[in-house]
Amino acid sequence: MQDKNEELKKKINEFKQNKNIGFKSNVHTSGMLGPGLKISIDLIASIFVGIMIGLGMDKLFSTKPIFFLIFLLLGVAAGFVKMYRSFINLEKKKKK
Amino acid sequence: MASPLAQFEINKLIHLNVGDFDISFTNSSLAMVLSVVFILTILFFGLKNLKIVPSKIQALVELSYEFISNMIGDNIGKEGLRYLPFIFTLFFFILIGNLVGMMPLSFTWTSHIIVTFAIAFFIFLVATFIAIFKHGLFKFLGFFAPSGVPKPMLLLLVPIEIISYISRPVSLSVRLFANMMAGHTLLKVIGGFVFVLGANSFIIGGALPLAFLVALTGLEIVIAFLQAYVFAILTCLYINDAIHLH
Repeated sequence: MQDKNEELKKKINEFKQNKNIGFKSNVHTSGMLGPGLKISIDLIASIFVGIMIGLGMDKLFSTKPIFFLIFLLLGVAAGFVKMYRSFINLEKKKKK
Repeated sequence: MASPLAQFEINKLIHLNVGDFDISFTNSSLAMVLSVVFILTILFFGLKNLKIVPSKIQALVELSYEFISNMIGDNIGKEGLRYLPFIFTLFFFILIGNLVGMMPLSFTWTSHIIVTFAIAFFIFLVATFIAIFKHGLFKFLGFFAPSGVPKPMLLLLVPIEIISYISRPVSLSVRLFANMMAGHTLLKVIGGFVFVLGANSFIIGGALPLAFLVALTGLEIVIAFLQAYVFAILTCLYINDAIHLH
């Protein structure tokens, strides 16, 4: 009985020192799949929103295709800005 | 054989019309109700006989609470804990929705863009309103103008910032919808292979795609968790941006 108690104490101490056990650490090891998907869809979504805004303004002012082209380029730029920011965040997380 | 996309068809179970609006109870609504019932059942039994040494189901509920509060603590900080009920609900609604979709003969409501977009747009509105109420309209608009930039550059940067802000609900909803829809379509396609190859080669030929199907089902369950997690964590990030405008 005494032995078992000692063993349990040892185990509890080990667990306490290793606080990262459990849910939290498992999620971080899920790899680069999540960030990769996030970045790719961010790029597409920004371009899509840019196109939609451009087409909407063209319809409003009947100036097709001027605003479409302007906002398409802005959308692409926004997509790359987002991509760059996610990348910076990833690097920061890695350093931690 | 049915098309791999037939599983996403919406069937009306109970016809309901209010004025010109069709608010019929569909198989999608049924799947949503089912997920809510699942969540409430787990929470009800988990919180019924509270003990110091938790039972399995109580431990599950406690762990899930801790998981979400950790997520909020890491991503927003202490002031984010007010939004815990919101994010907790969101995470488990989507997670159980994805898992309900993994059951045979059920329906994956997260594979419809209109549903995910409605959720994402609501989150977008919530985050925007939090920012406006906390910091005022003027400071919120300042969010779109990065500091320390020469004035002519603002002409280019402000539209870019606005587009990337508006694209948030789009990317949030498309991510969940595309993952669920692609995964379930793939499962159906490989399932078709099992049937066709098995029927043409005295069952032996079906073994390889079947093994593949089993592995893919596992992957699909991982994706169900991952996408719910990503959805919740991005909501945290958006609320964080709203609380700490910079």
